[in-house]
Amino acid sequence: MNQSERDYELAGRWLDGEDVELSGAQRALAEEVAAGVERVGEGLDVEVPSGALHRVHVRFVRSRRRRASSSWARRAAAVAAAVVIGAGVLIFTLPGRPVGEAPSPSAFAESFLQETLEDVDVRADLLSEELADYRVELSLHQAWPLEMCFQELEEEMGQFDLGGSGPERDRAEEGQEELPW
Amino acid sequence: MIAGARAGAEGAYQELLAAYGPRLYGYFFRATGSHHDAEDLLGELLLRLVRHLPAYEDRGRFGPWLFSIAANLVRDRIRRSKAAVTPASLEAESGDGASLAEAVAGHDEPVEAGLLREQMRANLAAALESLEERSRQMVLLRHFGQLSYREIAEIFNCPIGTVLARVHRALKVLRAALEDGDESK
Repeated sequence: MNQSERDYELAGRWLDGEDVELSGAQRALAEEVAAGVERVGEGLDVEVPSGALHRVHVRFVRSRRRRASSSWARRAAAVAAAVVIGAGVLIFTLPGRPVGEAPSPSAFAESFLQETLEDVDVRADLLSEELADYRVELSLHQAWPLEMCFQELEEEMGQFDLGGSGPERDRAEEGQEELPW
Repeated sequence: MIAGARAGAEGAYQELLAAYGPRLYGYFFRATGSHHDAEDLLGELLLRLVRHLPAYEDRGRFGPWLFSIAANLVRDRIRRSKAAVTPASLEAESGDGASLAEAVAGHDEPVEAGLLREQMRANLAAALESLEERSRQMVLLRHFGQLSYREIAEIFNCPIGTVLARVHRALKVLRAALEDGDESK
């Protein structure tokens, strides 16, 4: 039996609970799909391994607390920076300030902020990017770190070709296939 | 529960996990074929909820909304590590996380019945694996997420007729796999 796009559309809307009129064939199609979903669904159900949901929740709570505490640390660092900058600005602007060559308040603020916040952020970003890259690389190549070290050494030396074209390299050359979805 | 989660109450997230966790876990497991990935994705989903819940408009369709986020997570995971995604049938795990031998030995039923049941599951997983990615996701979202066909059409940005046609074809393949298992009894 050949169904048209229109048959499928009407059957789908009917299954969604819309008030649509179906022909006998369309009704049979809708009922066949509903029965199929039920029959297949029984086989698809999965028993959740014991403790899995608990582990997920514990990891979630830890992750939130870590994020919250790092957010507080950032705020505290920002407040401390503001206090020091304010003090610096006051020292150099109040009457009776020390005479002689002194860095401008903006230069002072810049160097302080660079020291306290930017470096930490940049280092953290670099580390997390590096970690993400390794994760992706490991999952794509399924190579152990030792194998990856060998590959890197091989590439760096250039003049030696120990492995030829291994499966990992072939996979890397193929690149990722774009999903239509 | 949703209001509590919005307010950031940890207990509310635990309730959400108890209510939707098993279905989400099933969806993630069937979509990735791995218990490890299913657990990992479920954790990631909770973290995304913290970000997205404030923007959620409560129209009484929280489950489908949750599963649309889950579908995005699966899509991203597949894109990121397509080579590493192992369909369920190739995993040494059965649906309940045990190896075939453990699954059979651990049940109070005759070994033959256990083997047949596992065979049927393996057939179904292999058939699921053989489906085209979009069709597989549509069937899984319909079953685990209980999304309407219109909601599935919105996620995949295609007409509702196309969704039903794909689901219909996919179900024929899956039912045939299940019936093969039945016949071998």
